[in-house]
Amino acid sequence: MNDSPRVLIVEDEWLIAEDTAAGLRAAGYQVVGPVPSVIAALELVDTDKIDVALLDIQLNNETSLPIAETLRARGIPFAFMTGFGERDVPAPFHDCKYVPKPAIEAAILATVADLLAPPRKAFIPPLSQG
Amino acid sequence: MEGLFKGVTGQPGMAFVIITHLSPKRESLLHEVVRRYTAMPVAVIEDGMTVQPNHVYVMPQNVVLTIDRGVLHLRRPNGFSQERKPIDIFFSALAEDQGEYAVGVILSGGDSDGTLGAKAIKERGGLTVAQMSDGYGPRNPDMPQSAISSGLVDIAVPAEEIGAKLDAFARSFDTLNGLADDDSDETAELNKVRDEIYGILRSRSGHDFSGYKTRTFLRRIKRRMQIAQLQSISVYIKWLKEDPREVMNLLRDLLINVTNFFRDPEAFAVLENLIVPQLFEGKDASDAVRVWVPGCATGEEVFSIGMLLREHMEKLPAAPRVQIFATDIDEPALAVARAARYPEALLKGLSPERRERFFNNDGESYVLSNEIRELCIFSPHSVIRDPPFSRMDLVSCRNLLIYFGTGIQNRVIPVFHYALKPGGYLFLGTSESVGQHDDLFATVDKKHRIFQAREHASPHVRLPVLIGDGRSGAFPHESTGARKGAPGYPLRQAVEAQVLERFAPPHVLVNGDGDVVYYSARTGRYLEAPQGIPSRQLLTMARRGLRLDLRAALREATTTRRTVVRENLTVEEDGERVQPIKLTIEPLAERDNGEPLYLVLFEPSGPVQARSGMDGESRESDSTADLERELRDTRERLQSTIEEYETALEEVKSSNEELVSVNEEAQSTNEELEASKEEMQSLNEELNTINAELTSKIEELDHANSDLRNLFESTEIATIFLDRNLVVRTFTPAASSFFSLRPSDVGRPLTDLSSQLDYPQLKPHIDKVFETGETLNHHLARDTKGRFHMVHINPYRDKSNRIQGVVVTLVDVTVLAQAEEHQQVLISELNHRVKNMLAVIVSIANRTRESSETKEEFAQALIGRLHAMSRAYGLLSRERWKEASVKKLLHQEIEPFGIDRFELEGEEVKLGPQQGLSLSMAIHELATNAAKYGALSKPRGKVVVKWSSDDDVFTLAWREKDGPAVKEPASTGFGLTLLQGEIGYRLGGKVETAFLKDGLSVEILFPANHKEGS
Repeated sequence: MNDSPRVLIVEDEWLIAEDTAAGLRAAGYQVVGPVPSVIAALELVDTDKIDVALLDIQLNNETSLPIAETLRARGIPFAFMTGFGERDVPAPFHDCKYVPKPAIEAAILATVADLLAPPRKAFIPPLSQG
Repeated sequence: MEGLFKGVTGQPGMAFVIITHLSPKRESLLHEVVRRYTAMPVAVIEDGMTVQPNHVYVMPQNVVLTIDRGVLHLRRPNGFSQERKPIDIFFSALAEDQGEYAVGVILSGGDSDGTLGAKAIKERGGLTVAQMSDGYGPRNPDMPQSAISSGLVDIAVPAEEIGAKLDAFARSFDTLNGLADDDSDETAELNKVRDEIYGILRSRSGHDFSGYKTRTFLRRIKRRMQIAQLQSISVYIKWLKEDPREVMNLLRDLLINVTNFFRDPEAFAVLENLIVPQLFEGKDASDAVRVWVPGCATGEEVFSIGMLLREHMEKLPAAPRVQIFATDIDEPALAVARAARYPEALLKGLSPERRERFFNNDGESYVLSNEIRELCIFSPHSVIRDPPFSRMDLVSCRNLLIYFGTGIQNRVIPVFHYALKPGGYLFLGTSESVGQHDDLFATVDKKHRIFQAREHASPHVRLPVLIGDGRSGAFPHESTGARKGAPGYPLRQAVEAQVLERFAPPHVLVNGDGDVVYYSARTGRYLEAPQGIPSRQLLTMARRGLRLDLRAALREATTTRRTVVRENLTVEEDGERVQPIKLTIEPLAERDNGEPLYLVLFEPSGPVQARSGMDGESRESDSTADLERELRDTRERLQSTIEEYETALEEVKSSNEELVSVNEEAQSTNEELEASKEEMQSLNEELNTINAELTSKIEELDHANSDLRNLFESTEIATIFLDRNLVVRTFTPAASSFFSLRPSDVGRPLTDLSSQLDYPQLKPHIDKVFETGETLNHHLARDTKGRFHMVHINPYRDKSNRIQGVVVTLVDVTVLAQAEEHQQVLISELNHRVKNMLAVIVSIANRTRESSETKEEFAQALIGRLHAMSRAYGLLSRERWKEASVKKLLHQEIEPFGIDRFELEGEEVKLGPQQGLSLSMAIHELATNAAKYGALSKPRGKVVVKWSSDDDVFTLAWREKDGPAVKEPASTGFGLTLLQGEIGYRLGGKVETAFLKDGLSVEILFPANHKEGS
C-alpha cells in the first residue's frame, strides 16, 4: 500500500471531497487531504509526498491557482475538477487536464492514471457537461 | 332664355349650347332651370361630349368651352385672368367648325363679349341673332347692344321671337340647298340672276361685285334669303329692287370680312415697303408721326398699321413718337378695340412671327402687347359730323367709304385732305377711290388705293362747330345739297318765277356756315369770284364793304334764328362809285330734315353815288379823302386779320377735337387703371392673407426647428445627415466628437473629414443603403476608451419617398455590452453552481448508500437530506443569496418534527449563504438523529436550541432533554460525520458532542464571517 501513488485532493465541498477520496481509496490510491483551502493544500505540498493532485478551481473565497503554480513548479502532475466549462480554466493552464463536475468515478480514475503515466499522452475526451 | 326655348318647337334639328358668364365659384343650376322650359334633353357639358341634334347643352362653371368636329372640349382657365370672353371663344370655334350652319344667339349680358364671336360666325356665313330690348328684357342689354351696333347681327328681335326665327332658319336649309351648289343645272339661270343683282348693287352703291367669288356671292344671297325667309330668288330680287335698305344689308354682308389683321396683304406690303419709310423720313425723336384711322371698328386695321410702324421704328436709331388716332362712331366696337383681346380664330391674317412677337396668349385668347396698344388712341368720332383731326401723315380709311353714298363720299374726301399734311398719304380700301377729287390727291398706287395729298389745297373746308354735342351713331342720308328745280311748272309758279327774276332783289341761299347753296339772278353786283380755288363761301365772295357786315349779320341770324336787317350799307362799284343797300338775312322756313338755311337779300336802297358824295356833301377836302383812305386801309387790315383769325380758329377747333379724343382716351385709360387698381387691391389683400399664413407657417417652422435643435443638443446619440454625395447636411453635437465636426463643416463631404472611428467600411455601407434602401446596422469594435458603439445607417427619404441621403446614427451600447458580459458571467456562475450541487447530490447519494442498510432507509435518508438542501436553497433564494436568518432557517428545518417540541433561544443573527446551507444540513442531521434515537423519539422529549453571535464566532448549542438514555456510539454514523464535514471541514468550525444521560448535547462553532462569497 505504501508505494501506491499519493493523490492530493483540494476541494472545499466536504461531501464531494469525501466521495472522491472514497473512490480513489477504493481504487488503491493513497489520498492526501482532502483539504478545503490554499493554505492547507500548500502545507501538504511542502510536507507530504504527493504524486498527483486533483484541484477544484473555485474554493471558498479563493481559487486554486497558487496551488497549481506550485505544483507545476515542482513538476507534480495535476488535473482540475470543475463545474465551470473548459473555458474557465485559467489561461496559463489551458493545456492542463480537467475533469468536469459532477465527475464520474471512472473519469477521475482514468485521469489520475493518465497523469501518472507521462509517456502515454492519450486524449481523454471531456464528458458531457449537461 | 325662357322665351327662347318656349319659341322652339319639339324637334328643331339643332343642338343648343348655352354659355354663361357665371361666377366661377358658384355651382350652376342652369340646366335644372332650362329643363323646365324645353322638351329636349338637357345635359351639363363634359369634356369630349359629341353634340347631338335636339339636345341642349349647358356649360358648367369655370371652364372655357370650344368645339372641334362636333365634339365639345372643356379647358380649365389658367385662373389669372378675370377678364374672360367665353362667348367670343366658343363662337369663333363654332364658326370655324360649323361654317354656315353656325348660329350665334346673344342674349342678356354685360360687357361686349360675343361681338368678335358674332363677327367670326358671320364671316363664315353663319347666322347671328341678338335679343332686342322690348318691355321685358334683356335685363342687361350691353352685350346684345354691342353686337347690334357693330352691324354684325342679322336678326335682332325680342327673346320670344328668337325661337321661331331659329326654327325657320333651320328649315330653310332644305329649301335652298340647291342654290349655292356648283353643279346646279340652273347655272345659266343663276348667272342671269347674279348679273341682275350685280346691276342693282352697282346702281345703288356704285360698287361692282362682278369680280366677287361666285360661290361666296351666292352663299351670301342665300343667307339673306334665309333671314328674310324667302323661298325663291326672284322674290328676293324683287325685294332688293324695292327696298334700298336690303341693298345696304346685302352690301354689308358681302363686305363683312374686311377688317381682319392685314386684310389685303399685298396692299399692306406696299404700305410697309413704300409708305411707312416715307412717313419716318427726315424725322427725329422730337417729331411725331401721326396716323388717323377713321372707322376703325374693332381695331384690326389700327393694330396692323401699329405693328408696321413699330417694326419700322425698331430699325431707326431715334424713332419719332407715333400716334395713331383711331376713331369710330360705334362705341361698343371701340370698347372691343381698346381691350385688344382677340380669339385665335380672328388672328388668321397674322404671320406666326408677328403673332409671337406682338400677342400674349393668356390661355383663352390673344392679348395685344402694350408696345402696340400704347401707340393707339381710340375715341368716338364721326367723320361726317365732327371736325377732323389735322396734320396727319397718314389717313387709313379702308372700306368705310363704300358704306357712304357718293354725296357723303364727296364731302369726306376733302375732309381727309384737310386732315393730311401736304404730301401725307391716304390709304383706302380696294374698292374705293377718291372719285372726282383728283385735284386734291395724286395717285401713288392705283391698284392698292394709296394716294398722296396735293400741296395746294382749298383753304376753306368749313368745319362744323358742333364740338362736344351728342353724336348719334347713324349715318345721315344724302346731304342736303343743291336742290334741283323740279320740271313742269304750273302757271302760278311760272309767274312767280318771272316776278322773282324781274322784281325781287338779288338773293342767295346759304347754310349756317355761309356756303351758298342757291344763287338768284343778278347777284353779280354784290358778289364776285374770289382769287384762288373756286369757292361757294359767301363771305369770301362778298364785295368790298359788304364782308364785315355780312359776316356779323349772318352770325346774328344763325345764332338768334331771326331775321336780321342791316340798312345803309354800301357796296363799292367800279372803285369810284358806291351803292347803298339794305341787307336782309332771313332763316328759311323750317323743313323736315337737313340743316337750317338762310335767305340773304341784297336791296338797293338808293341811287348809285360817287364815293366822295356818299355822305351827301361834295366837299373835296383833302382831309376827308385822307380819312377815307385810312379807313379803307384799316378795313383791309381788319379783313386780313379776320381771315387769319378764322384760320387760327379752325386749327383750334381741330386741336380741340384732338384734345377731346386724347381726353377720352385718358379717361378710358383712367378707368382701366381704376379697374387695375381694384384688382391690385384685391390681389394685395390676397397677398396679405397669404403673407399672414406664411408668417404663421414660418413661426411653426421656427418652433419645429428649435424643437429639433434642442432634441439634437439634448440627445446623446450621434447623428449625421448626409446627402447623396455624402455631404454633411446637419449633425448632432454628439456626432462632432466622432468625426471632428464643426458647424462650419456643414456642406463638406464626410469623406474629407478625419474620423475618430475605426470604421473603414462606412462608405461601402452607405452605398449599400442607397442601393437597397434598407436600414443597415453594424457593431463597431471596442474603441480606445473602452466604449462599444452600434452604427445605424438609415436611408433619408424625401416626401416622394426617394432616397436623398442617409442618416448615420452612432449609439453607445457600452452599457448593453457590459450587461451582456455580466449575463454571461451569471450564466456560467449558474452553470457552475448547478454542477457543483449535482456533484454534492451525487456525493450525498454515495455516502447515504454506504451508511444505509436497507433500500427504504437509504431512500428515506437521501430524500430527507435533499429536502433539507432544497429548503435551505429556497430560503436563500428568497433572501437573494445574500444572507440567511438563523431563526427562519431553524424553523424551517425543525418544523417537520413538530415545532412545539423545540425551545429556540437567540437573537436575530444573519449568516452567509454557505454558512446557512451547511448549518441547515447540520440541523437536519441532528433533528433526524433525535427523531430516530434521541429526545424526539419519546413523546415527552424536548430539544433546546440556543445560539448567539459575537464579533467573530457564531455559536449554536443543541441540547436534547427528557429523551432516552444515550451513550456514545461505537462508530460515528454518517449523520455526525456529515455534521463534522459541513461545519468543521467546510466552514472551518468546530463540532463538540457530548452524550449526556438525558440526551445528546452538541455545540457548533464557526467563524461568523457572513460576508463570504458563494
